Amino acid sequence: MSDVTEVRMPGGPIASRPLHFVWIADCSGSMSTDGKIQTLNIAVREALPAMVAAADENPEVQVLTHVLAFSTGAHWLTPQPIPVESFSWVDLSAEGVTDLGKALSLVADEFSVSKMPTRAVPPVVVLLSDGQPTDDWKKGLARFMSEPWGQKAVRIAIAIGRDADKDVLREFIGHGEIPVLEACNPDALTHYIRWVSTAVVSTVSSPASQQATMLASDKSDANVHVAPPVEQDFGPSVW
Amino acid sequence: MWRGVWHSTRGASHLRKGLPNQDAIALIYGEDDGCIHGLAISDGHGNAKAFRSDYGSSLAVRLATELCISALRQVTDGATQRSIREWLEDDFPKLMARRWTDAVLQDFTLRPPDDAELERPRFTLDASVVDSLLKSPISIYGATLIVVFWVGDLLFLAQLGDGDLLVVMDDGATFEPVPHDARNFANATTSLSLPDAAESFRTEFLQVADRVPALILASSDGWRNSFADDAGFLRVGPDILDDVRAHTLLEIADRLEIWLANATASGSGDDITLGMLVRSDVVASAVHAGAPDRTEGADDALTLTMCPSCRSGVPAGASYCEWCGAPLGDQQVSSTPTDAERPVPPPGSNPRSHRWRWLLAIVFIVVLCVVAASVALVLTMHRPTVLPVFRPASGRHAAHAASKSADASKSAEASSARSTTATASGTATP
Repeated sequence: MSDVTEVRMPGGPIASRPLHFVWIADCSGSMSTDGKIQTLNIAVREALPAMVAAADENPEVQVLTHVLAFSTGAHWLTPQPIPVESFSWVDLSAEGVTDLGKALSLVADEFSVSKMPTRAVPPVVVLLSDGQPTDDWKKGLARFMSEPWGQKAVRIAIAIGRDADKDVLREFIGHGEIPVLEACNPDALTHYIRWVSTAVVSTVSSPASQQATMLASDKSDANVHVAPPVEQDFGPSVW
Repeated sequence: MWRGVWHSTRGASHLRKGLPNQDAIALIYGEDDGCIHGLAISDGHGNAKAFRSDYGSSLAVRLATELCISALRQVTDGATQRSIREWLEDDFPKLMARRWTDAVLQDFTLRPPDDAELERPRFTLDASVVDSLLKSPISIYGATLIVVFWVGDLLFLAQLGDGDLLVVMDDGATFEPVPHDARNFANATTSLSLPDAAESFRTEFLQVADRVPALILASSDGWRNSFADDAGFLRVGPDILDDVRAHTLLEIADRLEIWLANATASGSGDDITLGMLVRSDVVASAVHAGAPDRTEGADDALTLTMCPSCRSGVPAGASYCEWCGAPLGDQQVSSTPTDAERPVPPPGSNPRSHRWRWLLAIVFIVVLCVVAASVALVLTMHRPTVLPVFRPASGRHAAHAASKSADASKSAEASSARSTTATASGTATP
């Protein structure tokens, strides 16, 4: 066979497929109590090396990180997606209310068909919240789910503390096989953040196809299957 | 008349995870004329739920081939092109979906999954999901399908699921004839395992009496997903056409292997299958046509002769062998070969097997040199040592001599390792 280096590849450049990973972080005032926001900051920062390692183990995807903070209003902390190997976490602070609807609308804009490359793998969207939304979250969720990439996204929700509205989070996930992850103490939050940064990235990175469906009621069946984390006892609840 | 070239490579991701290649491909030959009439490609889904999708894809290409051959039989029986077209448009999808479903259900009944086969799904999926799959097992075979089929001057293109079909004209103009299905994105795909599989087929007909495509490319989605953007993917049409015109088919087949390996390693990580139908005169115009044993098909089954170099069938009167590029003199015209008579390069006559012989010979010589060097070294070590004038302790001298011998041995090994490495990089792997 000819030497590999002498053979010209037809077509344009070859590239790995983008995997957009979005942190949607609740920065409302209640997150400033009992060290919740501090634990979140530390947990994400500490999970980053493992996330980079998970990305390295799946070279066919390029993990691009986004961070969106919401409290009174919502805004992107990452104007452009950042390759995970270059990404560093900036500590979040907490004050204000819980405008989840605005957050989901912003994510929907980012996931519009015109912005997302067709060859991207399903994005991963992780929502971390400790309370009840204070705006029209259903409108925001509907906007998000009206986008094809929103439907295809692997949606994970981590409830921080017992006061988090799990019904809202369940509706956000919209997938019968993926439960709301309930973090009632720092260990649990750290564990779930690490899990979502590694196991979910690895699962979504697979090039395997999912059978599409025409049934409107069964849209989730076409999503990537993600096995939930093994249940553990994280000790007494603090939050 | 067409030549067919194809290659299928296991995905880099699948290699790491110990999963098989779940793509399948088949060239479609006419029973009567022995000519290539098209190809079928199928991509098994490969996810945890579709744990028999490799079988599902193999089944798909086989059934598609059978259906296409039955269409050719209809032509032989006097069917008009119009009725063939109607049959392909209306009946082919329904028959394909129904036969595939029947076949997979029969396979499941005859060959229920055992614990070994269920190990991976049970590890990955919830028990209730596995139970549900076993009760309704069609989806465990899930696969896509692409069919390219030529009958008369009618080109039939059919697609269910993801993957790509490109038609390339003589001037390099490239287009995608089959409409896209919006459901096929973000790794989701329509499938033979869906209840509406028949309705999900997209079909297209090209009447190509005057402008026959130069090249038709069919590929599983791993190929397109490896390119940074769509514009880059569509450039493969004119680029591959240039390559076909400038290289032997043997070289094209080798390049296919390299292209796909590069694409899966640096791109999608998925299984990649790429099948090419090349119009015969496009190949012949390059003169240097050649083909490996996986490139088959006869331009003109009525008058074939045998190339004395590679013993492949070549059109009578050709001045160069299309397979190996050897110049041809006057050859005896033979009658139409049947499949049994079709000349197949016997072992050892295939140009690629010649290269393997040389490789084996070189490796053998290298091994002999290493063995000879080792024997010489051992003999040297046991030779009586001549003591120098200044007499260091015999133990230290023996150690020094042994050290020098060890260094010589390492040098010989390094030398032979370098020559072995140089040999492997310059030769083909099968």
